[in-house]
Amino acid sequence: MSTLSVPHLLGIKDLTPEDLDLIFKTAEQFKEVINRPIKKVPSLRDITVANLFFENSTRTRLSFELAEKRLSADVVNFSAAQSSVKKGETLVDTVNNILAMKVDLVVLRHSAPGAAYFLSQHVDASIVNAGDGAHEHPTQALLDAFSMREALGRDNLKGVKVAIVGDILHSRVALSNIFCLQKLGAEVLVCGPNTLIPKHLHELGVLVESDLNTALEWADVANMLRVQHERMDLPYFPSLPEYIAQYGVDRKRLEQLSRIPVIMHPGPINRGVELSSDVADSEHSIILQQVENGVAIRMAVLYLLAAQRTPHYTS
Amino acid sequence: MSDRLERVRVVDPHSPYDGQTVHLVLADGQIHSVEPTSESATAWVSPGWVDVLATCGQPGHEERETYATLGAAALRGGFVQVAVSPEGNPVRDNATGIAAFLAETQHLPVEFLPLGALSSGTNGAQLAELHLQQQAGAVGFFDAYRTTESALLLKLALQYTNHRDIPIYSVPVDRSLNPHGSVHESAATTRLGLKTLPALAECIRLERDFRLLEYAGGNLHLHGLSSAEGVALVAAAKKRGLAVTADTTIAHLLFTDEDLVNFDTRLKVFPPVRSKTDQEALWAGIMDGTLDAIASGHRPYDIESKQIEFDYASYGAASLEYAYSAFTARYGSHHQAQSTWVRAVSHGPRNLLNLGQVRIAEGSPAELTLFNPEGPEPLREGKAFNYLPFKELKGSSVGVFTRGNYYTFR
Repeated sequence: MSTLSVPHLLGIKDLTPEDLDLIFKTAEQFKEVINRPIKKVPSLRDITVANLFFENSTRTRLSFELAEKRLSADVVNFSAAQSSVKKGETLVDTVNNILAMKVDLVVLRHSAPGAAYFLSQHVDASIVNAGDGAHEHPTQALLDAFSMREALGRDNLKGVKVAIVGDILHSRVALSNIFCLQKLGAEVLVCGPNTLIPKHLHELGVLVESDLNTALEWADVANMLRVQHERMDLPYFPSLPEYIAQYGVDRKRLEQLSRIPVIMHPGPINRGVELSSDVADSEHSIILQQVENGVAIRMAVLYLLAAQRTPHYTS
Repeated sequence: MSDRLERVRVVDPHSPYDGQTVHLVLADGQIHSVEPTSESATAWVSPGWVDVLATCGQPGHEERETYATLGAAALRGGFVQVAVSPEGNPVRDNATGIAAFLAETQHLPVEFLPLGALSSGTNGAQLAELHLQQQAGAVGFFDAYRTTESALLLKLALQYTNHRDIPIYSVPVDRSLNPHGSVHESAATTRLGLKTLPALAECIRLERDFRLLEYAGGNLHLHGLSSAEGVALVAAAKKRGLAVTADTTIAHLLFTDEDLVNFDTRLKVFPPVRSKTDQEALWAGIMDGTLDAIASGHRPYDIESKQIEFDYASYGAASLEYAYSAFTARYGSHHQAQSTWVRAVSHGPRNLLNLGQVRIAEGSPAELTLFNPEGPEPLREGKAFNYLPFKELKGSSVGVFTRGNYYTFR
């Protein structure tokens, strides 16, 4: 199979295991490309990509933009700190205005869950979801799984134990990771304050653990999530020191384990909160590899979607 | 002057002619005579249908629905009377507003029954002029989907009205459990990343409201029951002898949290649609009479309020013309199913709104709905953008006899 089963990347939910395999294989090739002296390939020449970020983002936007430029796409960026609704224009109108300038692909970051689904129903372009509220962040999950494969030296994740730690309730990364890892055959455990774990999450086939040491002892990989202060509309835990005492990972905690798991983080890190600096920068951490792989994964996704939309450009 | 309805099958559990095919002679606004016949029926007839809660855009949001379009939708849906929410700009919270509403709607074929605001401006704090509104024609009090957060306000309202036969509507949801929650809490909605409002919110509020009702007296009507636990609590409260009535809506009977998979904003209603188990309990509640009424819950919106991101979309769905067809498609066109419908849109609503009962019998008011459970779905008359995404519709009303006028449609 050389094409994706979907016309958009709205969520990991919609992908088949074959889609995931195709994306990883394509990303492997692009990772080789971006490590060459000349990092650019002409795959998306004459393709225009619009990066529409209705929510603040630095690394994801940069990663997408680099991926697009290394594929030789024409790139336009649109950022709005607030939603289009608050500005008086609907999301559909905003995007259709941009599409009228002949854009082929839209990369969308938005604070509302389902925004990418909504857009895909109302505009004529391939949509890549770059994060929609607490719903999904599919390229992050793809790059996380890709990085796990690399770090563990495996070409599949069957039976691998992955702990996702922290603010699960507000995390699109957690949800996409759960969907992705399950499709790849990994076991998933979530760990965090019970107030930050959705009550019905265990019904998705996920283990739930409140004690961090137990979770880390169980795990081959620990994906540490950022505390999403900006999405917390309620006081879910009493204070940051109390959170750090229970769910912060530092070297001392790791040294008590019988084996230390691979440490991951989607960034940006709250240093001293979910991870201490001596762990974030340690040999156990693959955080910077995740960032590098992010570009390769996004190149793969854009390439495969563009190939579906305009096969004559990319064949 | 008299009208004659030939070969109609009676659906009215309170009529001696229930299940029989009859000829009806109507004169002076009453059923003059009922003549059984052995001929086959050409349509079914029941006491006229009453919707216990619909919302109009007028005044203030005529782009969503006007009195005229709401009336047309209600008529096409087979309703002869509709209780209309006081929401609007301005809110209907005083006698002048009630009188103006009645004056503006009296010419419509369907009778609009005004609900007045419970609190001034629906602010949830200060009692509105309940006595004067009732004097002017209000049939109940409702804070227009704003949940009554103040226990004091509800206590005062129940005490203040406990010597009157008039219901206070409450939407039993404790929003403080998650002020931004918009969907049921379940595995299905966990997959969507949307903020949730669990069934627990309904249970907590019901427990509070029942305590207040027990203490203060009065008549409490609960709108939009959504959960299995909620139905059980209503049943228990009725068993305790509390003066409580309850409805659920056509959206809650037809849709579940699983239907939200594509973030369809037409299913963003308040309270949220819940699980399959909850839905089954609502159906059971309608069948055994724990729930007194099926409300359309018709709440029209324009495209700008609904064709946007789920989080920003307004709560509410339009359904008035299709409520019966959706019910019949789901529950059946047999006599028992149709009797359940009639009980939930005629006997129950008339009882809770103190409208006086209508029977298919000599001497009863000729407020009638004619319908065909096997017929095609009705045509749309309303103005709203946000009609529920019904999967299947079957049957429709084919005529309405109300206030001396006979309206037919096919």
